[in-house]
Amino acid sequence: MGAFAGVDAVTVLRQGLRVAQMNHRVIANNVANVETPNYNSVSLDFQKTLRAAIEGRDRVSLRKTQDRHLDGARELPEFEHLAILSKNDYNKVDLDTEMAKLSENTGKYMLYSSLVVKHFQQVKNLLNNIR
Amino acid sequence: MLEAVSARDIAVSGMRVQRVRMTVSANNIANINTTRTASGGAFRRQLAVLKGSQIRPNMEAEKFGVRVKRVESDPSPLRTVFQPGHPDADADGYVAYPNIDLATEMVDLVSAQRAYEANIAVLASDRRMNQKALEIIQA
Repeated sequence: MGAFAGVDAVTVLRQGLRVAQMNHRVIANNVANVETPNYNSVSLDFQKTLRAAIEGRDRVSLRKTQDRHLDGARELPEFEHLAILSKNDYNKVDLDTEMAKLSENTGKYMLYSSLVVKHFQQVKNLLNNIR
Repeated sequence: MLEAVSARDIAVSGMRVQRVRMTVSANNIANINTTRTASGGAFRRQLAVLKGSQIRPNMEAEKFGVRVKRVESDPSPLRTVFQPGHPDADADGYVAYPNIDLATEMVDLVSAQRAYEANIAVLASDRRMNQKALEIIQA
């Protein structure tokens, strides 16, 4: 059986919404600190966090789930560090990446909330038709 | 594989590369009169060499988009000015100045900015398409 055996759609969606909200806060914090000297950008591994939240594995707190590194496939090639280093203050926030992550995360949030609405509409239809 | 890469990732790679081009141009402009560098000799104009791939079936994800292949020095001759009293003058009294021309650098800057904005338009277009897809559910 699949990875989500025994878990209903509403749980997945609710946890997805929570993780998306958390991720939003992480990204917003990075963007707010774009000019802070010595600040390292923080990123959240969405899939890992979502899985942990669905399985109810320990309280999903920001401290436990943050990764300082994006996954290996998205490692910055060597010269692209120039754009960040030119800030001269050891700040590591790449605004372009943060904005793109923000856009993706917002899309996920809207998707999950639309699916939740759809789910409850279906439940309502079902209840209406039973009568 | 086309499924593993989104237009968003490709656009972000474009944006990052344009920022590097801008950084290199800014550094050139800042050093327009630098006659002495740590490696000896006057500062040489630098340019970023970009690398990308034509999309092929079954291409690896890393090859999509664009990246900076290297930053190399412009081999064109330096500007020599006759200034016998200058500390960096050679035996004949000529000082070598960087081969940097403000007009060229400004054009590079504007070009980097326009390319950056074009990549942002790709991002926005991708976002709008996803939003439209969501409307299927809401119908």
